[in-house]
Amino acid sequence: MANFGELVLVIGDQHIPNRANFIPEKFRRMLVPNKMQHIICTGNVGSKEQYNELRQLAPNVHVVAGDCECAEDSSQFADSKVVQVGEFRIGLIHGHQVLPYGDHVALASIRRKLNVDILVSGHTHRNEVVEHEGFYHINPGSITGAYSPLQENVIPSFILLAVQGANVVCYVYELVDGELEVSKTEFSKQMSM
Amino acid sequence: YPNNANSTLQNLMGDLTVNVNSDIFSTDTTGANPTTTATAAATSIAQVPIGSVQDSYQFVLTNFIEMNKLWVRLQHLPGDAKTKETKIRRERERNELRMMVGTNLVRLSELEGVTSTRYGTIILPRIIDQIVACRDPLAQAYLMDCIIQVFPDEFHIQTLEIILSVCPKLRDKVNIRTILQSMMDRLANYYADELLLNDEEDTEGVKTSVILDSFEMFDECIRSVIEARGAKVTAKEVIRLEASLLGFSLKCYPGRLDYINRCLGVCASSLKGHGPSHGSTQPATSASGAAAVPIQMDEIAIKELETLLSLPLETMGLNVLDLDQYSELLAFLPLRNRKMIGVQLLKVLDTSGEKMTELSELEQLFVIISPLIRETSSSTSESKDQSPQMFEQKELISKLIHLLYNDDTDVHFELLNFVKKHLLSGGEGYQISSHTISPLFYSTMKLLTRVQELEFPAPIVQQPEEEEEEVVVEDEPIVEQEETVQEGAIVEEEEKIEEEQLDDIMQSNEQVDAGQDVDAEEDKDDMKESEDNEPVEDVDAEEVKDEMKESEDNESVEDVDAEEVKDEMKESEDNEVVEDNEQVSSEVDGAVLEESVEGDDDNNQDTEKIETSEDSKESDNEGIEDQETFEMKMTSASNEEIKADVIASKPAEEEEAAVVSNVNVADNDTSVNVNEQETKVDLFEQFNKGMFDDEPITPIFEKQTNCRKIFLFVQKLLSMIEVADPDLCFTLRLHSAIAANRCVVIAQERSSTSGDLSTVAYEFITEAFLIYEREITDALAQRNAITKMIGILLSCSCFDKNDYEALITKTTQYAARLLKKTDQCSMVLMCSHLFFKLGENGYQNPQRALECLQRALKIADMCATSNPSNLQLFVDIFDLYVYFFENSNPVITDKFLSGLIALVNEHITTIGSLNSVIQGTKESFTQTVRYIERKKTVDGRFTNIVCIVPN
Repeated sequence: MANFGELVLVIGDQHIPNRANFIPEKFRRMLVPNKMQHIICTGNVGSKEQYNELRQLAPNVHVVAGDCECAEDSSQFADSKVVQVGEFRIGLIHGHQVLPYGDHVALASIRRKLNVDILVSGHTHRNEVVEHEGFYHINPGSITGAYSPLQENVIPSFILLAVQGANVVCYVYELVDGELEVSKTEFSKQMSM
Repeated sequence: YPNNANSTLQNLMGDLTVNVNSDIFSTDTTGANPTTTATAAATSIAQVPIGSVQDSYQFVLTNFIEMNKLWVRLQHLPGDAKTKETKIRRERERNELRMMVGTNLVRLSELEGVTSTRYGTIILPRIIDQIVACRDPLAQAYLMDCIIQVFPDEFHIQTLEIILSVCPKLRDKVNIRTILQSMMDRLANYYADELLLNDEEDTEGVKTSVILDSFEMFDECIRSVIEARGAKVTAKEVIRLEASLLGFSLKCYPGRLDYINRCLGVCASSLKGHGPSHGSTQPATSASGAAAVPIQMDEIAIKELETLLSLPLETMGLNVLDLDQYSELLAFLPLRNRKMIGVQLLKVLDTSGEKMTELSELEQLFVIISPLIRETSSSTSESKDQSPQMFEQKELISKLIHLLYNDDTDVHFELLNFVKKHLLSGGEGYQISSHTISPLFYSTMKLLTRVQELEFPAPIVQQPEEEEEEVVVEDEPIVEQEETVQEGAIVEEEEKIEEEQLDDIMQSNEQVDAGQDVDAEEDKDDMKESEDNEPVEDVDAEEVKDEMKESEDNESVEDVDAEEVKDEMKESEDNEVVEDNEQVSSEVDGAVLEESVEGDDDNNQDTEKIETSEDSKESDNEGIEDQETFEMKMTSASNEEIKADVIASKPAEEEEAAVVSNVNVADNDTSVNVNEQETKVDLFEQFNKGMFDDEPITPIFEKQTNCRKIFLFVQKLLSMIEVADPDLCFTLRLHSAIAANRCVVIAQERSSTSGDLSTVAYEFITEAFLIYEREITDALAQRNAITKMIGILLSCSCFDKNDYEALITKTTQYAARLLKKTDQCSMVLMCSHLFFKLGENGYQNPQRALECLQRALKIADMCATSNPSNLQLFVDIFDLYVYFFENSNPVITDKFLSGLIALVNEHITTIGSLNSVIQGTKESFTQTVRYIERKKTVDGRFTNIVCIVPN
């Protein structure tokens, strides 16, 4: 068994039960307890049960508030968060506050504000791993493939980060027409300038 | 004295048992070599086969019968007082002795060499005769149970009929259900084992086939028992019996709906008081008992019925809807229990993930789950206690909505419509509405993405001619059909009519757009109409005018209808609108635009408004002045532009408006209808022309459900939660707007006409704004709402310049009027995005964007003096300056950036002591400054920025 280092599950925008009923079976089978050390969730979990399920998956669960949180959750989550994993500072924000939505220049300014190496954001329901000025912007998309007015044909997706010191391998899992597709990106922490 | 008798009896019975024991022992030894010894013995002594199997069971049987007689007689010992206590005491004593009688049966079962035939023809009948003859409930129940437990499954399978035939003859006190239940359990287990082993030979094949018939026997048995006992049988008894049978049936015959139906049928008919419907024998029993009176159900019976009805859910899921009697039986349950059933059904559906495709299915389903919708709304006091349950129910209903699916978008829409009707019919069910409307909304939006694909399809070159012709011809009949189909739904009717009118308007709109083939006559009308002040000569035109006025003045005109007409006309009628201010401003639609126009014509009103809103918070004098001037600037600037634009676009819009009103007349006036028909024919010709030219033709949209209709549906849906959940309503309206925007974009991409969907988008946004004004009062909620407004407006590209400016001006006003200065600052800052949209054809007014930034800066300055921690605001503003600079906003120069860097540095040094918040701010500021320094090396534009990194 290869050592992946610390595993960080990056998911978000489940919107259960308002926009989707469940996490697709093929994904659910992969999300087993005690594998991941962290869960980073971009928000819009949808319901308390979903949040509790996340908490059973990993010891450290970080959630930020989305734009469609149900009333009882909205106060529970912060707008943005910073999580330290390995040598990486990972910033987390839902993304509806970043205007225009999904704009990388705008995201970069949030990234600088949080002073992080990786910025995780959601809201667009389109997964992305983008290098921007030597840093990384990661968007896990929606794991349920929930409807979004911003995006047609939402592809269910999530991201897994395997962090080893200053290196990270980023796996993007997508469900395209019911078939699982995985793509991989590797990058290292930028030396401070 | 009685004690004495008892002990003697015990002695006697003990003796007998000893005898039996020794006897069994001997047979057992012979049985060790059954083939050799036993058969040899049988042949040698033919007549009285002593020591043979026959001899043994004969003996045990006799023993059994005698013992049983004694045992039964024990109940009625002479000299006993006939009191209840003695009776109970005797029963207790007898119960202690029962093992001794039962042991006989055990011995019988242990005899080797007893074949099933022998058992069926000799042994069992004799035992049963004795059981029936003794007429003692205790003995009957115990011995029946003994038989079932001690003899092997194979015997039971072959003798099932005999055993079951006894049941009706047993005393009423005997619990038939336990007897049948244990029999069924045995058979079911046996059957399951057989299936599992699956290596049965031919003979065993026969046995399983016998098992397959057993349902009939059990069913027959239960019916005859119920019949035999007549009125004495209680509801819970019947239900329990049928529940056992149902369970058995589900285990052994999955998929046999008729069996389940029969179980339910017996229940239903006996609950109704008719007894089991059983042909000719029926009248006799029903005549004797009180037949017509339904059996009263007590708590237990209700519980049992609930269990019975839950049984098939597990295995059958949605298929229970196919059961005829299911909903009928459900009606016997009180609401609370029906709710439980509903919840269970929904859970099963959820786990199965099976799609609901047919309306009929859904209708049946809603019969079952309707209590979930209704009760939650009616008893609000109760709902508070059960809030976790309530929540679960809502979630289940939400999930159900997502299970609706049909390939045909029309049918799918019908499904959604049906759900909507039901959710809203829950009375004052706002609580449930807001939770279930959200999924219904998104489900509808999902449907929209499919409909928009159909309505605005990607162009396909070459299209068969005939198909097209047919489509055009069929257009009308389809509409008519729809009318008849939905006539039954009273609730829908009103909506229906509106929709049709709308459709008509839409249609002719599209026709005009596509064809540009307006009748000469119509043209004339338009001309006349546009010259408002000139005397009207044409009768038609007069009618048109009347019609217009009516729709304006008459408040009773249907909401949507009025909105519709208004929307088309509003621009062309600017003057009228201002005149009729009171009426128009009470209307929902177009409020924003009108207001801004108002502001143009009479500024007094606008300033008045500002003043009143400011009066309440006089604490900050400096701020008020500032704010006012700022707002004034905002409104006047945008209004000038609007004015110019309105003038420019007036002629075109007037024409459109006139056409619309014409059509409106056509709806009511048959004489004008001819005109419409003609246009249609023209259009038809055009299609043909297009075909001959061999141009790419897009497939015709044949569905009745178009995007327009869906938006209308959503509109209604959302208006239901306007009061109950304004925040949600606000968000969903914005989402509708952006969905409408997508439709327009797609239509444009595929060069097809989207009708007036951009108006729809505009309406949704203005309505959202109205909710914001009226209902959203919490500071945080306001902040969130404005953030959403800006985000959505940035994502919408379908508005023309006027509309867009009206909307963003309004948004900026909202931002500037927020209560907290810090909120004002960050929101006004955010609004700057609105004035400088990126991308092609994005709206750009660089100066106004800068004004927003400067405005934010002023507010930030005020905030920073009151609390140094607000330094973050400066950094945020700085970030946005950098953002615009990077995105080449021409008026934002490097000087601004240098100035800001200096300013922030100054602030940091004056603050001196740094708490953690300011430290964080400083860090993020440093980040940005460093970023600019890095940028200098690659981008020449940055070189002149003076960077100072704070120490």
